[in-house]
Amino acid sequence: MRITTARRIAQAFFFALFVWLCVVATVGTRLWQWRGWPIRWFLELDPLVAIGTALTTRSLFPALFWALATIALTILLGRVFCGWVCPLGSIHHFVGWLAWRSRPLKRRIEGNRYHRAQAVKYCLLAALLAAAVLPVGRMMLASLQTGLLDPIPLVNRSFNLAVLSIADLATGKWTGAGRFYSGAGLVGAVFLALVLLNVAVPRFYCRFICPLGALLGIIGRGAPWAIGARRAKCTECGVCDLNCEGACNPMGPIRLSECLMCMNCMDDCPSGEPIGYGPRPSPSGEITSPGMSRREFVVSVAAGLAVAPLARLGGATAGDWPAGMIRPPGAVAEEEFLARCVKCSECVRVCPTNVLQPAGLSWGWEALWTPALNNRIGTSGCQANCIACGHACPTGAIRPLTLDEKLGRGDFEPAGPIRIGLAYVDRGRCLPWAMERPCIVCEETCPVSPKAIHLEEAEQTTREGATVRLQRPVVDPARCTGCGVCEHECPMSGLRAIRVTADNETRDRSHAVLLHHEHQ
Amino acid sequence: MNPPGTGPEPVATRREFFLRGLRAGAAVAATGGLAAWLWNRHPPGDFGRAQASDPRKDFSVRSAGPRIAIATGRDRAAMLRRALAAVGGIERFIARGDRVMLKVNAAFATPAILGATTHPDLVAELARLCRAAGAESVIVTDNPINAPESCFELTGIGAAARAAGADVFVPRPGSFRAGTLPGGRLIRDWPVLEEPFAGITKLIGVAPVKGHQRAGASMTIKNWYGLLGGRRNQFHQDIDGIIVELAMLVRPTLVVLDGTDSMMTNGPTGGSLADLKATNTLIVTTDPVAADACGATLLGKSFRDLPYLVRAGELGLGTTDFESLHPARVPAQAS
Amino acid sequence: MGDAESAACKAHCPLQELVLRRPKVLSLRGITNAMRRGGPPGWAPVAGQFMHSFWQTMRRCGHGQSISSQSVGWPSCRLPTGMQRSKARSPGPGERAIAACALAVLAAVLAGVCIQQARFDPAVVMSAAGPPAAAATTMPGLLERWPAGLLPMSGAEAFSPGTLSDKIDGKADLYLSAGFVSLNDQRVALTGGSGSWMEVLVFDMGVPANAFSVYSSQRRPNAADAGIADYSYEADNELCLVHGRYYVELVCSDSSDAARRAAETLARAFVGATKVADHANIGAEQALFPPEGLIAGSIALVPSDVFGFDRLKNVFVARYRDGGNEVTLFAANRGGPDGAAREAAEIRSFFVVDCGGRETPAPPAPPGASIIDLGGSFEAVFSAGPYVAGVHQAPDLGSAQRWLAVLSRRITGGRQ
Repeated sequence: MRITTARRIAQAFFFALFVWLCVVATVGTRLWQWRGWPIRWFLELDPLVAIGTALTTRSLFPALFWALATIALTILLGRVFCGWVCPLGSIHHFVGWLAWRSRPLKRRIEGNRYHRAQAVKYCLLAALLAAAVLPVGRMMLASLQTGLLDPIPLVNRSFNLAVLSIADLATGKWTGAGRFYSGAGLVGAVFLALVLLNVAVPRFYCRFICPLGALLGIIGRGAPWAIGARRAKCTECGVCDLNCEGACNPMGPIRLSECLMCMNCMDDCPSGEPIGYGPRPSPSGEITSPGMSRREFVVSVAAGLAVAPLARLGGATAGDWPAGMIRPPGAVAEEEFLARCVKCSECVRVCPTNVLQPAGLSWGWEALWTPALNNRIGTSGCQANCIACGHACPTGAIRPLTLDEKLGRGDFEPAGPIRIGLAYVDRGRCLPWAMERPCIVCEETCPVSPKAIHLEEAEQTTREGATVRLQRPVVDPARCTGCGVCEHECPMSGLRAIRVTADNETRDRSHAVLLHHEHQ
Repeated sequence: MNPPGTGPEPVATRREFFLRGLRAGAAVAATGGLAAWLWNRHPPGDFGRAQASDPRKDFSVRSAGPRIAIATGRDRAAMLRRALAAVGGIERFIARGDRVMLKVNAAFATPAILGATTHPDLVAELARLCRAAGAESVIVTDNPINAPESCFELTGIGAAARAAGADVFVPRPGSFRAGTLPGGRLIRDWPVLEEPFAGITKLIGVAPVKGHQRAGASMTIKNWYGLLGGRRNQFHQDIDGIIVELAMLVRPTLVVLDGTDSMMTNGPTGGSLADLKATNTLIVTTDPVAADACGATLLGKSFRDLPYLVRAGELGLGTTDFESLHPARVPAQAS
Repeated sequence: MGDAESAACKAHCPLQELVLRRPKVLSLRGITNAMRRGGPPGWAPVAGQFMHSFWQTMRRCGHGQSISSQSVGWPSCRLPTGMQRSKARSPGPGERAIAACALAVLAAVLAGVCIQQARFDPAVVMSAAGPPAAAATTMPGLLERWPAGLLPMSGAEAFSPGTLSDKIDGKADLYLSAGFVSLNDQRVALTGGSGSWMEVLVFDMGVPANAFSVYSSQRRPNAADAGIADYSYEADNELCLVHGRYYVELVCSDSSDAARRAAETLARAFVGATKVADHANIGAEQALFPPEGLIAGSIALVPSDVFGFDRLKNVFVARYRDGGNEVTLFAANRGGPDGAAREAAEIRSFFVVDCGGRETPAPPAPPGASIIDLGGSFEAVFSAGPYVAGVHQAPDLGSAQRWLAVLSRRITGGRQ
């Protein structure tokens, strides 16, 4: 079997596995639901996630140990991950093949020549890692933005929120019927744009943008074996570039950090002998440098270092913290959250009530595509007996809770339940408060026991002169966990008459409202 | 475009290959070792956890014993001198080479005559006396409620301190460190002022006598509220609790309680001279609980009217029965 | 190919020539231009020309396998043909070995993933380390903690006589007339992913007799004794029991085995944990009823409005099989002969006056008994000692007399 055949099988396999893991990411025990499927495995394999979070938190989240496998593979064999495993790479490869297979050979060969702009991805990598590297402490200045361009979180986000949702419009089976994801349009548009760029240059994203590819290129350029060309039989016809995915110039001094190990050059070479895979160096020369000049490196690092401090100038993680941004239960405090979240949207996908949504730009650009609750969307607020999001998160931005900790039971009774916010009644909109009509939906649906909403009786004379006895809801901040079920069920479906803000959330003491709670 | 090399074809020697392989293997091992070292080193949420230190500040001079002097008159500086002399002289407390911290009340940006803040005359005299006793440096500080710079200036404390050779320290967000008070319920992982305390050997609290809507009175113990950072207004939900914990937090060398004009109503901000009553008393003591108990009488209350004081006495943080300390009463002299 | 263009390639490869010299034909633009020039009728000549070139290529290079003829006239030959595809480029053993290794790795990944899918994620199991710690109930003094495997789904609700109808609507009358004191109602879910849950209703009826009466008057026909507490039965998705003065209903969301087991566990836990002053015991009354023909479990205590008579309360009734029909016997202890006799007279008068019945001639035994013909059925009533008893809805006179005799023998026989 040809190596290229094996590669195609591998690409198809990992792509199918990736799509399957996206489809099954629903809490449940059936075969097509979560069960024990390792739904975040691709994210765990991603070395950029591991290295990024290692830089920002000076620690390796246990699940990310898988990244060592990818790094070891790359150190030994080169960018095999890019050419054989990466699902986004496979998509680009396939779309590029579709778009270019019918073009003239000359045009195709020219399209796969090395371009100086391929150094841009190293600059992006340098900038992203520089943003992650500033010291950690009480005033954390590290910002993890690798998730914006890292291919695994990007394709995970795009598939879960946009692609599968669109594909699912007919059956409603794959992503759970009737789910909404705010901002999925932007995510899908970005994905579409990146995919369509392959029409301009094959594997545009892989060659020019992908920071993971850059990282693997740097790690993998010292591999003991590589593609090489023996000059003896080589007629220098250039046809090896016909299907070269990485634009690495296999014929001449091969650019080791660009080679995606697609092995197409070996198949294309008409002579059959010159190009092969063997111990380095390639007889026709090799270039190990990534092609980024020192000046470009310095500029990128400087830009990256400025990212986090600039982003924090507005006080979004200090005094001006956004009260409308309710983080999932188990989320760590905001500065650490922004240092861990890779915006993969796995939590958004598994949330059974569809209440977790990717944030837009309204809470600062650092929070783009990080998860926050929107109680108006979905089937209910945050379910009391659900701990899915923390167990779906690959980096620990949302801690994997036990149910006892979330509900404040057993060992966690002194600490009390985890609160994500505090509900408050808008007495100007609430039916019994402002509109002389009975309603106690919020009190009825409050899931904590004893309830966090109690009712005050009041008699009121309506405009017709009748006397009605109204029960008016009052929130008890000592009991409210901010789950949002009340907000979801409130019949004032426009602007709800009871709304949750992130006050009193347990993850940050400076947001506390009460000095004491029942349990302390 | 990319011509192959023109020199003789390089040959991959077995030795080179072996070295490369070795390097690769070493790289994998090193990465594995790094991963193992970093493995769960800071679990999620670690940075929010209390890395708090013990914030207690004990600057009491045990050898001096519990002493209290009550001076009467109108001249603050003179009363201070007489009272200090009556407790054994400032030399008993301040030695040569000491670095002294004066914790004043500069919480509000109001003029001194309104009595909401420490009177600058006291600050100047105390700083001067400390320096005369041989103190190497005197630092005046507080964490105000209003804007710090304007507080120290508009109250006159800044100018008075500088005139007497003392430095004013204006706290910044980085001046605080998380502290957990042993035995405290409220001061847990809470920012406490640390930066100006570096190298300090003696601490003197200087506070006016004020009534307080929530606590009943704001005197020498409540004065330590200015050592707390963060959103400390939360503590008003348990004001007595926090004041007791402040008494646990700080053991000063001396406290000076200024009852020359006591704020009887509308405390602690006051705002009108009509809020003040001329009670013509200055108290100097090593025991803040005794000082507050004595100061309560100036407000027409007894210590039993102040729950925090009762509790502090019960916990043994000081003596509410100040008479038992045999206060040296120093009346006004015609000088 | 620019500078590196090889003259040798061009000389040997007609396809190269084709590409370089006549791109207009082979490119999409070429085709469309040709079409535009020629118009629809011009399509044929263009296609013909192209097919000719294509066939030339096919014939000349004999390189069939790479030329894809899937799309019309779109040769996608990847190699400059004419040069033979090198036979040496069949994969060597090394390449085959590496490919095999790669496939083995894929297989291992697949196997690993399939093994992993059977080990449920904690989020799916909803507990990280075994079953969750037992949650506290809101029934202090009765049952403090829910047994393992049950989680409260919502807060508990309490109902008083005034609010009971909010919960159970019209059925409230049954309870209220039976001395209802309070109701504690809560829903609990079964852990373990089955999705079942049950509603736990604990009625405090004041005294055990009241509890038994609401228990027995609602007993479902296909219920089976559950053997828990003083009295208990299980039917489909329900388990009801009487424990002292408490009447407990456990209503499950489905009739699965897991739900049934959980209900039994909870019932036993409740009985074990709740201390009651005295237990419900109808042994004495049960003895009043003859055993022959008795439909099992049909002895009930009707608290009020017995047979539609609003002044008749707290009467034990039991159903019997009489041939193909059913007949009801009733009995109650009125404490003394006077009370019993008075009540027997009242019952008789109710049937005669209120229901418009006709009294038949007095039966031989027992003395003082009456049989009333209501048209479609027969009623009989008598008093014996402190007991008032009788027959309800007998199908005919003979049956009424028969059952009257049996019952009176039983009651009076037992007394002697």
